[in-house]
Amino acid sequence: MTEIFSWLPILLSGVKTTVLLTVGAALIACPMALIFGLARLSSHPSLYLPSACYIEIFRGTSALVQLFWFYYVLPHFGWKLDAFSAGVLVLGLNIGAYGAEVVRGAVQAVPREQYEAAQALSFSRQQTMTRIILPQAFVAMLPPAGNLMIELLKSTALVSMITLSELTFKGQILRASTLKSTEIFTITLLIYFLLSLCISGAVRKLERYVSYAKG
Amino acid sequence: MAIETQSNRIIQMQKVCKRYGALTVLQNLDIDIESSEKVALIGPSGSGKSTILRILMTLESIDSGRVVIDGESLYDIHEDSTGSSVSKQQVSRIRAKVGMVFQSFNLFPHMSVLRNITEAPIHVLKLSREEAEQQAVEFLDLVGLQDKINAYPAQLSGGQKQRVAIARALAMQPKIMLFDEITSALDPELAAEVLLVLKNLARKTDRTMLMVTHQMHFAQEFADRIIFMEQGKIVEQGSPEKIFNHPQKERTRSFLKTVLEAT
Repeated sequence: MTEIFSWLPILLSGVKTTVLLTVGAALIACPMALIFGLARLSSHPSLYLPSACYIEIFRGTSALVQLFWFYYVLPHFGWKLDAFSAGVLVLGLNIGAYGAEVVRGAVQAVPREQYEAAQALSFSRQQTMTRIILPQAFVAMLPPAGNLMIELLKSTALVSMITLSELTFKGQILRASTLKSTEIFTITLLIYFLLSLCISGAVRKLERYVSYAKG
Repeated sequence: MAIETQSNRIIQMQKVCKRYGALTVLQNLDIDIESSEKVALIGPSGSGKSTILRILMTLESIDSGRVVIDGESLYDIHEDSTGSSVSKQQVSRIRAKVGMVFQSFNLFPHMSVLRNITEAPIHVLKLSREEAEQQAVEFLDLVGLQDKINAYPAQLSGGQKQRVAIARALAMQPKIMLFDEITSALDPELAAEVLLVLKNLARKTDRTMLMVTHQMHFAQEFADRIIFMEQGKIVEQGSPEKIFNHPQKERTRSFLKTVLEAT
């Protein structure tokens, strides 16, 4: 039992990196999802084509290989990223691609009649989007977006593969020195679980805050 | 129709054609509507009644013909599809003169009743919040829903939703009000409460009103003129007295017989 306490500081320093990775990647993913999700809906090829490429490329290839590519290949083109930046960037772009589809789906789910009602009241196209459509779409986006945030948290473990010492990496180091796989990986799992509980709790709070009376 | 001191056409549709692919919805349709006239469009489903309203609300374009609203040209398209195009500003100017109430209410579910009514006056007409809210209270009073001012659409009955939708359209002060089968989604009791509101409204304002309806008795009471349509054409039109009591065309007679017997 006492040795568990001696591991905790090491694991917790890994937790700090895991949380920073998650928050950093989320800060990239949210605007990417919104911008590319809306661009995907445009009828303008110059908007929807780049968006479709981004979404399909990042969704359609392995996140782990993307990480290797950004960390090991980009330097050959003269762009050197440290492990943390590469991790934040790749995870952010990855989740952003999935998020763009969430945004697109939520906007498309708003009935056509809402656009017609807005047009009948002389709202401009931009006002229709910001005042009528997006607020309704946002409510529909939240549950799948919460899912993605949890997915993001768990995929930070991938970044251990490019030498970043986040939670999983620390767990592996401890296991190598103590050989207590059961205890260490159980604790590691528990920590991920607690972190994801925090995310789902926060998302549920936000859902309750933005949802309008449903009768 | 004695109210008109001068002949003042607020809506003119000339030779309007509208097709969806191979399906012709309106065929060389001519309709003139006088300012402050109350007109009811009746006819079987698919006869193009709602399409007329949607064209006037600028929700639908036309294939050829001419549409003039309150002296401004909305469409002027020749049969070979050439014609003068209308600027965006002109379309929005025309759109602001027209208001519409939909069969499916189409309230904004994320806004309270008050915000549903004030949102467009504040952000489109640029009224101050106080003005818009004061006006909203008056319109809610008119439709008998002052106590629901802070409710959300999902908390209202269908009839209440439709009355809010009427108040919301009125708040934009349109010269022309379009009502597209506004009681079709309601059970008879709720429909009656909406029709009562509409009847009061027709009596109180000199707005031009155009309604598509299947409620023959209401059309009879509400309208100055009935237009009976079938397959994108006007079969017969005239005063309610003429259409309901002395229809000239056999098709009008058989339609009215079927519909009136059913209700």
